[in-house]
Parts: sequence; structure tokens; C-alpha cells
Amino acid sequence: MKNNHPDGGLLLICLLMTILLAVVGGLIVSADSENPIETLMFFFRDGATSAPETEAEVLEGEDTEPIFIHPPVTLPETTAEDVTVPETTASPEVTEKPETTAETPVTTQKAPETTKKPDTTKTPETTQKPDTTAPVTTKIPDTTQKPQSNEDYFSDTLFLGDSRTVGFYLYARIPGATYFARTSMNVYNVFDDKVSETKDTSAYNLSELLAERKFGKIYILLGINEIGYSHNSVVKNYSSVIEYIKQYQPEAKIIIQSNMHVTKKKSESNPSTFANSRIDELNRRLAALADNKKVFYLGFEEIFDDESGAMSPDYSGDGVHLYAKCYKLWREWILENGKIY
Amino acid sequence: MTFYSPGFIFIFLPCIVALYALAGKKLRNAVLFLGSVVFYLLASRDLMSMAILASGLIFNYAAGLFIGIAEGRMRKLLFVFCTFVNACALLSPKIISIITESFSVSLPEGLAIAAPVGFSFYMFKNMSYLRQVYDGKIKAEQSFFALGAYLVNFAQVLSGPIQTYADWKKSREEGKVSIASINSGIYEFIIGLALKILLADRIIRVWVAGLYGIGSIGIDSISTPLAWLGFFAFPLYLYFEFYGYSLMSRGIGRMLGYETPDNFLHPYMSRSVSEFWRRWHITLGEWFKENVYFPLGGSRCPKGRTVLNLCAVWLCTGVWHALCFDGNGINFMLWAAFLLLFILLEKLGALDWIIKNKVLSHIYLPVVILFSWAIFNTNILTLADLGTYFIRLFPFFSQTPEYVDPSDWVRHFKDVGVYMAVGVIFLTPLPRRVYDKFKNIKPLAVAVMLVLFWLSVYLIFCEGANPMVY
Repeated sequence: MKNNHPDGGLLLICLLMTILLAVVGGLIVSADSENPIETLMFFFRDGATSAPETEAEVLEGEDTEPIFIHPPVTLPETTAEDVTVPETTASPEVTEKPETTAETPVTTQKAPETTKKPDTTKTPETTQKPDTTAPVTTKIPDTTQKPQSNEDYFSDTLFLGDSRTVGFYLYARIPGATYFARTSMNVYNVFDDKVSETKDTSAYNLSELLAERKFGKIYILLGINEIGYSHNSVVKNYSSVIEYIKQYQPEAKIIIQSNMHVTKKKSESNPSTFANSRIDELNRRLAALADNKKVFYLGFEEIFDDESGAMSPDYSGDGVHLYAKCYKLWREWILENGKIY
Repeated sequence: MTFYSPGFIFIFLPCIVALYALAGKKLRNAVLFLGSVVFYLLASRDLMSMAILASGLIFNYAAGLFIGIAEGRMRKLLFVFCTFVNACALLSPKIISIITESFSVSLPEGLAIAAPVGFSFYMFKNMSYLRQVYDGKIKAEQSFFALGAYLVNFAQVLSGPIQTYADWKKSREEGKVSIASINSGIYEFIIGLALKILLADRIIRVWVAGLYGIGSIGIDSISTPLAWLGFFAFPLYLYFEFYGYSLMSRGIGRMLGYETPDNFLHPYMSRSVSEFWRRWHITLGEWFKENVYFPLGGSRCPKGRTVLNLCAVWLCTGVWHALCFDGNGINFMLWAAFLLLFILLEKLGALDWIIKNKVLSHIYLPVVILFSWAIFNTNILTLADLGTYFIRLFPFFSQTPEYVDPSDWVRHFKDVGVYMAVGVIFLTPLPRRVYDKFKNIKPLAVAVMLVLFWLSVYLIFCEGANPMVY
């Protein structure tokens, strides 16, 4: 065999040496990952500022403290723990079965929700119905006035979210509404110093936008990018995100939109991350953040579902994002059922 | 596990090369065979796939021995029968899926057979082995491990190249494993890795990247500029994906002390479609020539017969690709028919005036080939979508759909424009020539290789942790 590279094994030696260096470097940088080369690579990617974090690590630490990296404002001595507790106790059960809520502590309240399946389907419906038919008249008396026109309603509305909201903006935006959305946005990085990918707000990062403009309604859709992380951590951070937004926009109603499912194929491709059951569980727990005074929950993931309860392949090519032509379903649903007065 | 997994690059490959080098000549087949079995299990993550491969190996090991000793009519009968069995095995997963889909019957759980990873390449090697035994080019392999090492060889089991047994055996007897051979293999391996990770994986983002990929937007809702960007992006991706893989396979071969046949020879520099296909996926073309075209009489027969032979070859080529890739078989058959049309016209001399013209031929070839890849495109799953795609490419006769973002191509152009430009340069022999000139300046060559390697590894890790960004 002719040897095309007569360098006496120089490349082999250099390669082995750099691998050795990478291993040593990875061991020095941080011991977080099992694989030192991986650690070093993440170090190069993320820099020294943030600790390298792998999916697996977050997954196993079910009760890890929230990794909220860039808080825009410091909360007045409320830890994230304190924030979540009142949120969850209030819960949609206030609207559902008022008699149980009063004495239900946080821990017991979680249990029935996770075990009883029917609750999942009920929760979204019950929160959405009062909104459409009789706009929460019992709760907030001052909103009994006649429904506004779409234009009026959406002129002070912000849609905040990940790439799915970018698609909403690109292919079916509601005239007058403001969008702040970015691919790969999640509850950990929503307040990063990155601007929106949507043209109308592309000059701001989120804190600037919230400081600059006043919104009456803020619709949030987050959760699919962090679906592989522990639900505890995601929900905790979700509620801190809500708290931070409230500080900027004390008047605004915050509306949590349910995470759409993924297609069956996508769900089965990586069950530990993209399982639709995980998405259901997350939605269930996000619904529990709603107090129906300031924070509301809209469950409409099923409008994109096929009969198996996964996103229909007719609506999505990659299993996660809607086809461009399908975003109008989302818009129509919001216009018809998604207005909160 | 693939060639691009960190576990393969940093653990599996060094281990198997070291074991192979340390093992004596007698043990090498065993090391390679067992190592390949481990690799295949990690790659397919499916015992059933491994079992199917193993039964193919056992069947053809026995078949080879029987054909080797049989004589006369018996020999022919045995060969025809065994080849028939192999062909049926190759086709069966697809046929079963077509039947179950068209009659919407579902097989009981566990019986639903998907074709194992790399099955079409594997079966082609099996059939070529039997053919060579039957033709007397080689003696039937007596050692089970030796045949297993050839057939399941991890360097070739996923996507070829389809090396013949005679070639493999000869090359292995001549070659030897040394520091120099391993070193030389690393060069090819890194070049292949870089082409795949730095070019192919960047460029294909036009079709598959999260929210903005054509596949996510939906073919009916892309702007015409984006359709054209995708038109050029897919062939570039396909070439660097497969060429990169082939170079890595060759590099691994060198590390194990044998030479792998060329799979690509700058095909886009060809001047006719026939020539392109002699320089693209060469080992597959050779297989069809040896096992279909020549047995039918090749071109040494009346013109009408030659035309029929070519039709047979391209029918098989269409079927084989339909087996290799998911998606609609009809698109692949259409693709094969499209290419066949031009090959026949070339064969009959109707296009000589183009092919013999230096300028025209270099316009004709890319245009035909690019359109053939547009039909072939594995991101377009149905015939209807293919029609829609061509309407988006040529929108003059139809209305622009309502949901089109006219500036959707800008982001992609910024994202992959540079990579595509570099890719076009790498279609020509120029980079190879530059490389051949400078590879003797050792420190420079080594430095470039190290940069390419670590850059690729870096991207593999980043994307591995973040496989898709929404």
C-alpha cells in the first residue's frame, strides 16, 4: 500500500497530544460532565460565565434550584420558592371546585392532579370557557363592559414566546399586536440580552421592551425548548418569569398558553424528552400557575391534535413547528376564544 | 453510533485500531468481526437488525461453500436460487410495508420489520460475494470470521462503499498495519469528517433547520428564492455527506491496513450524465455493471438490447435508492427514469453536439444533474409535494399562496451562503490539488488537520447537546 502521507506519524502524535490536552483541560475547567472533552467543548461554547449544564444533569436533579441566569430586576427578598407556593395554591381549582381549595396545601394539591387524567382535559376547558361566554364577570367586576373590537383588544397585547411564536408572527400575526419571540427561547434565557427575531420589536431585549412599552395583556408560550428539563425546575422558573414581568407591568394580565403537542413520530423519537405525556404534565402544572385574577391559562393544544392526542402530521413537517399555512388556526382560536377581559 | 459520534471518534475507533494492530494476523479477522458486531449493535440499537444481518451472513457463508464445491448445472441452480433468496430478503421489508400501508393492515407488534440500517449495502456485498464465488474469481471463504469481517466490517456496514471480496482480500494481504498507515488514515478520516460536519451539515439547514427549514415551513409556503436556494443546497449537501462518509471509511480502512476503492471522482466535472454516474458512487455503479449490466449482455449486443439492458440497470438503481431512503418510491422511480432518458439520448448519440462542446457540456451536465436531485430530494416525501415544489420553483403559472413570507430566504442565505460558495469550490479538483502540493510541508498540513478536526468535534458536541433548536 502506498503511503500518501509520509510524515512519520507526526499527525498521529499531535492528535494524541491534543486529545490528552483536551482531557486534562476538561478536568481542570469543571467536573460537571462525565466526559472531559465534552466539558472543554462546552467551556469554549459558553465561556467561563456560565457553568456547563447538560440535559442529563438537569433531568436527574429533580429538585434543583432554578437556574435563572439573568434576572432583570432583583425581587424584594422573595426566593423562587416563595413565588411558586402562593401561585400553585391559588390554582385553577378555584374556578373548578371552590370547596376543596381553601384547606388544600401545596403538597396534596399536586397529587390528585398528577394521578387523575381527566383533570388535564378539564382544566383547560374550564379556564377557557368562562373567558369566552361570560368574561369572568364574577371575578373582576370592572370588566363587564361590552367586548372590545379586535383592534382595540390587541393594540396593547404582547405575544411572548419561542420559535413557535416566531412562526405565529411570520405567518399569521394578529394586526396591532406586538410580538417578542426568538428561536430557542426558554424560561431560563427569556431575559437574556438578546433581541427579538420579530421585526417589530427587533430593537429591544425583553427587559427594555417591558420597560419601554405598557401592555394590558401578555400572552406567553414557553416550555417546549426546556421540555427535557425537570418539570419542577421549569415551573419554578416559569413563575419567576411571571413575577418579573409583573414588576415591569403591574397592570398587565398574563396569559399562559398551553404547549402544543409534538407529532407521534417526534414523541417516540426521544421519549425521555419529547414525550407528549411530558408535555401534558407540563401543561397541567402551568395551568396551576393561573389565579384567574392576574394570571390566566389557555389550553388549546388539542386543536392541532389527531385522534391519538399527538400533533397531527398534517399540521407539522418537523413534528414540532406548525406548517406556515397552519398558524391561522392558532390565530383564529385566539381571536374567538382567547380574549381575556 | 455513527462515524460522527464522539463515542466513536474518541473511544471505539482508537480501541479497535489498537486491538487490531496488536492482534496477530490470525486474530485480526476475529477482532474486526466482533468489533463490527459491537459497532453495529450500537449503531442500530436493535437486536432484530443484528439478527437479520447474522442470518444473512450464515446463509451466504453456507451458500458460498456449496456453490464452491458444486459443479455444472447444480452450481448454476444453487447460485440462482441463493441470489433469488438474497434479493427477496433485500426487498421484503419494503414490500411488507407497501402491503401493510396500502391495505392498512397492521402487523402484530414485534413482527413489524423495518429494514436494518445499511441493509441494502449489506445485501449488495453478499450478492457480489456469491457472484464472485460462482464466477470463480475467488474461492469460497472457509473461515466464518473472515467472511464476517468482510461483510459486517464497521467501516462499510452503514453506507458502503461496496467493496468486492476479491479486492478486499487482495488489498488486505498486501497492506500492513503500521504507524504510517494509521497516520495516513487519520488524514483521510479528518478530511471526510470536516466535509461532512463543516459543509454538509451547515448546508442542509436550508431544508431542516428548526422553524425556518423548508421542511418545517411546508413546501407550499416557501418563497421562490428559497425554493431555488434549496434547489442548490440539497445536491451540495448530498455530495459532501456521502463523499465525506466515503473518505472517512477509506481513512478507517487505511488505519486497518487495507485500501478502499474510490467512491467519488469529482463527478461534477463530468461532461455527460453517463460519465457523471461513472464518477458518482462508483462502487454502486460497478456493482450494477458487474451484476446486472454485463450478465445481460452489456453493450456488446444489438442496440435495442443495449437499451433494454440500460433500462434494467436504471430500474434496479431506482428500486435500490427507494430501499435506501424513506419516502415515496414513486419519486425515486421518476428520478431514475429522468436520468435514464438522458443516458439513452447520450448513448444514441443525440447529444453528441453538446457533450463534445467544452462549454455547453459543462452547462448541460450540472443542469440535468441538479434537476435530477430535485426529483430525488429526500426531504420531499410525496409526488404531490414534488409537484408543489416545482410550482414554487417556477411560479409563473400559478398564484402565490397566501402564506408565503417573501423574505424567508434572506436568513438562510446569510446562514449558509458562505458554506455553499465554499462547497462549490470543493466540487472541483482544485482543493485536492492544493492539498497535494502542501501536504509535504508537514507542520502546515498537521496544523490544518488539527484545526479541522477540533472544529468539527466542537460542532458535533454543540449540536449533540442541542440537537434541534426551536
